[in-house]
Amino acid sequence: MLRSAKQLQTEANAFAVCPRDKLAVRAWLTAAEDKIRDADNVGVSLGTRFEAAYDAAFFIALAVLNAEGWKSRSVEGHHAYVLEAACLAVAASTSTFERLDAVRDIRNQKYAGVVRVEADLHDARRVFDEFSDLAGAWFLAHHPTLLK
Amino acid sequence: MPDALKILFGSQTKARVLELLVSRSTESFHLRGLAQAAGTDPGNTSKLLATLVESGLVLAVPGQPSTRYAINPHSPLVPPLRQLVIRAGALMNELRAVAASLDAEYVGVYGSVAAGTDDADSDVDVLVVGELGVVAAQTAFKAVGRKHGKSVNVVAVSAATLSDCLRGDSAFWASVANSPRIDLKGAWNDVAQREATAD
Repeated sequence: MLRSAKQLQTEANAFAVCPRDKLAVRAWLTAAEDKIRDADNVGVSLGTRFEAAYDAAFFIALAVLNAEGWKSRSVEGHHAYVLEAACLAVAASTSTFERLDAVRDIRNQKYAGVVRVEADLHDARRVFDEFSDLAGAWFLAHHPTLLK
Repeated sequence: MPDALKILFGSQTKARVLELLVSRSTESFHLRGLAQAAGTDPGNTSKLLATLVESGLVLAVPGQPSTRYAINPHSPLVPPLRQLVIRAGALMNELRAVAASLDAEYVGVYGSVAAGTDDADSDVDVLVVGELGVVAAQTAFKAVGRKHGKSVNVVAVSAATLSDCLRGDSAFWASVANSPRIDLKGAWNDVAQREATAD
């Protein structure tokens, strides 16, 4: 069961209320577009592209939460909280959240010897597409003026 | 999957209570809190605790509003019991069930959990050797990790990559190869021996 930003504010002090900010939402979404272009750039390493795909999803999640009137606080695990609350907001499934969160876990892995492979990037790109499609539909349905 | 602890200890109540006390060895519990966390009947749990305290395996600390119970860290039985609980307890059983479903020839736990040096905040480190991607492997263990309040960190490599890693000059892979592991699927010795000697 995914938790909302309000629940996570109560349970983990993970969010604070903030005014909806059209410019900020646009900036997050533009940054996400830039990052996903980076993820598709075959001229850079798979590891860099993998991280870019994650960043793109995270920026969209921040945009969703800002549109809902929340900002993330820098508590431990705040990236996971942002993804979870944003997934719930746009009605993404638990499975989608778990795959996004798995990409986050892998991005954070710190050990030597194993590099990212095409399958990793493919999986990260695919879950980004799912989340991005849901978020796009959600913005159109709930906050169309923020996109103009 | 059979409940090995229940089979070994002879009752569901013994298995769950000892598993809880050993796996959360830095905590103490009131009777009702312990029974609730273990999913056992308070009456049977109370009788069991009396015998465990008498045996010296569990400490009863008088307190308000009621006595608290904790595993006795000085009991010589606790270290082997802890190894047993780690290897045959609910967490490992559920990890095994996930491992069985993966398209992998080997899955195992390494690091502090396998070595028995973990604490309540320790992650569970899992190695997957197979052709599936690390995102899929990491995702597969999410539900178990969430249920047990544990971060499960997966390293997924193909057999060919494992071969390179084992022959490389890597402290990480030397540690994986030479430290305790708990096999969840397949046998480490089979995979490692084959890959270490592969051309």
